[in-house]
Amino acid sequence: MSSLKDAIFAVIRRAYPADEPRPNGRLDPVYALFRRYQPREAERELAYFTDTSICSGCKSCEMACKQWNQIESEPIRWSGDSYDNTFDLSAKNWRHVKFIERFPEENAANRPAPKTIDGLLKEQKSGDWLFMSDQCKHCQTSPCHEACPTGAIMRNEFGGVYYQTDICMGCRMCMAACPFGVPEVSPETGHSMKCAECYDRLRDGLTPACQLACPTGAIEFGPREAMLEKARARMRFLHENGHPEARLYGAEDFANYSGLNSFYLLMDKPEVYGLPAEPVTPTTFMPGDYLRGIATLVACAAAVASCLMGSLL
Amino acid sequence: MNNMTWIKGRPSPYELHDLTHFPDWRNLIVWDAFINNLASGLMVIIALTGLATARVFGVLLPYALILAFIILATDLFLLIADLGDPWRFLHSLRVFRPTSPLSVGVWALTGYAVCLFLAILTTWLPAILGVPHAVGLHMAMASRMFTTLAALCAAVVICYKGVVFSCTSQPGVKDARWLTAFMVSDSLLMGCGLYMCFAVCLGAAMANAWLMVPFHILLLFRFGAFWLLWLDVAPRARRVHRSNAFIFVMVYIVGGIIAAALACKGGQPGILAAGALVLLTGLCERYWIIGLTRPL
Ligand code: SF4
Ligand code: SF4
Ligand code: SF4
Repeated sequence: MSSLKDAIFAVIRRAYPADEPRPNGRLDPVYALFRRYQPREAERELAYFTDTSICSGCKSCEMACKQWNQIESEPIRWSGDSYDNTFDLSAKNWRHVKFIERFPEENAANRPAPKTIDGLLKEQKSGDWLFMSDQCKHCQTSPCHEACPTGAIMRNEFGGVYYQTDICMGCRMCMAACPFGVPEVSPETGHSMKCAECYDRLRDGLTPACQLACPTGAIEFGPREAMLEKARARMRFLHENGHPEARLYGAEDFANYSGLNSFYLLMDKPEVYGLPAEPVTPTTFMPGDYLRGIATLVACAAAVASCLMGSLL
Repeated sequence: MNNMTWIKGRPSPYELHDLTHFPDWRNLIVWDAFINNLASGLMVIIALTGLATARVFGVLLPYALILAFIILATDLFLLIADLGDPWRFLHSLRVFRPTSPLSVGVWALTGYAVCLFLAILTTWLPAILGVPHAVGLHMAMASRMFTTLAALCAAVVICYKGVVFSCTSQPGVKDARWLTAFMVSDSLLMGCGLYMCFAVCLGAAMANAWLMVPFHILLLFRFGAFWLLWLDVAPRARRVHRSNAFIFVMVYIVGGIIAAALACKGGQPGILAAGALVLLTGLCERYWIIGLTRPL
């Protein structure tokens, strides 16, 4: 009998790391089934600052992301939208470089070609290109996190939003909740996936792979306050140098949404980049929605019950 | 240069379409919403009628509980089948997260299923095993208690089902502040309609006479809640369903009126038809509402 018990305990104990403290003595194996690790102590909040004004659209960040996170690449499909053949953020694309071409309708190819570099530089500008390297915004109050019923989504010690795919059941509530269209349930694994903020690298004191790979310095990563300072300084510089359209997106709280731990300097309206101008936290409406439902339920039940009681009398 | 021409003339490729990811809410989710509402609405009606007027509905109650359980089991199957990784369903029972409507729903559904199962056991076991009178009395008390608890859990289930759609960022439903109220009134109406059909099938004409007024009152509630819901979602409905937006609305309204008339004047076949119509229009409307999230 006792050897059977020991055998069972031995099987369950295998889940324990050998050096783990055992707070509950003989109850450990039972406790192990329900145990939760304490969240790690919060560290300094880290954030991405992406300066789209100096992004060159090279897609090194996309590549570095795929390489570090070992995400399989997909066969090329042509979108017809400039050089954007990534289409969208997805379970397999945790970064997405967007291309926005803004050129006049008429073909400027047969203009007289400038003869000198100076001439070329001074030539009347006839169009421009916007680039933006998009990713999960690691929202400070993240709707995906609030909506997840399994606890698969957690906020890590650096303030990032991390998906534990080994707990995810693939209910797609995070997909439904995210106002930016970031996470996606992989059709292959059935689990939700998105940018992990290179959490493994952060734990080892490294910066995210995309930031390291960016050749222009468009992606910056570090303590949020430091990133904010950089962003504000850069915006001031652009304003002073003839770019009043430069604006920060997500650096501060929105009217109905928290600030983002991946914020941007944009050169046009957010909508042009496929970003909601004013995102809204869905749970804002939760108390009201429940209340209207409960009120209707009580009213209906009272009406039905009073009919039945009335018939009894 | 004319950046302006370009800007005015052409939106960027990222503008003018839905920004959120479509969570693949198609047939399975629509049927889940329908059967979930039906199971919970039926349970609330069973409990209300059984507890308020045991004399009339007491004879139906044991069979009705089994019917509710079968519908609930079908819904649980759909809910789990829709998951990307169904075997991981148990993970949702390791935590309770009140900010997640699905977490509230999963726990409420679990409570509903367990209480309903116990209600069935305590209702049927004394009859099957022939227990002594004293034990039988205790069992009857337990049965009433579990039926009430199951109905309370079912009430939570009805409420969560609307919130699970409206508290998201999905176009259409995210603006539907009256969706939960609509689903509540509709699920009670469907529960009442089904219970009336059930009573016809079991030959309980008396029960139907008692349910006739509540049925019509619930129809009125459903119209009211649907109208408020329509005010919330009309712009999106016109874009997604185009001219069909109104056809759906008309199906709903006309269907409701016909159901009301049939229930009043059609005798027993009329009640069966009215119940079927209420269920059909309920299913139709769930296709309509959840369809609002379809990407444009
Ligand atoms: S952007 Fe979307 S996926 Fe990322 S943290 Fe915010 S809500 Fe979650
Ligand atoms: S799909 Fe996974 S990560 Fe997303 S809400 Fe569901 S369980 Fe959580
Ligand atoms: S690596 Fe840097 S420059 Fe290249 S696309 Fe990404 S953000 Fe832009």
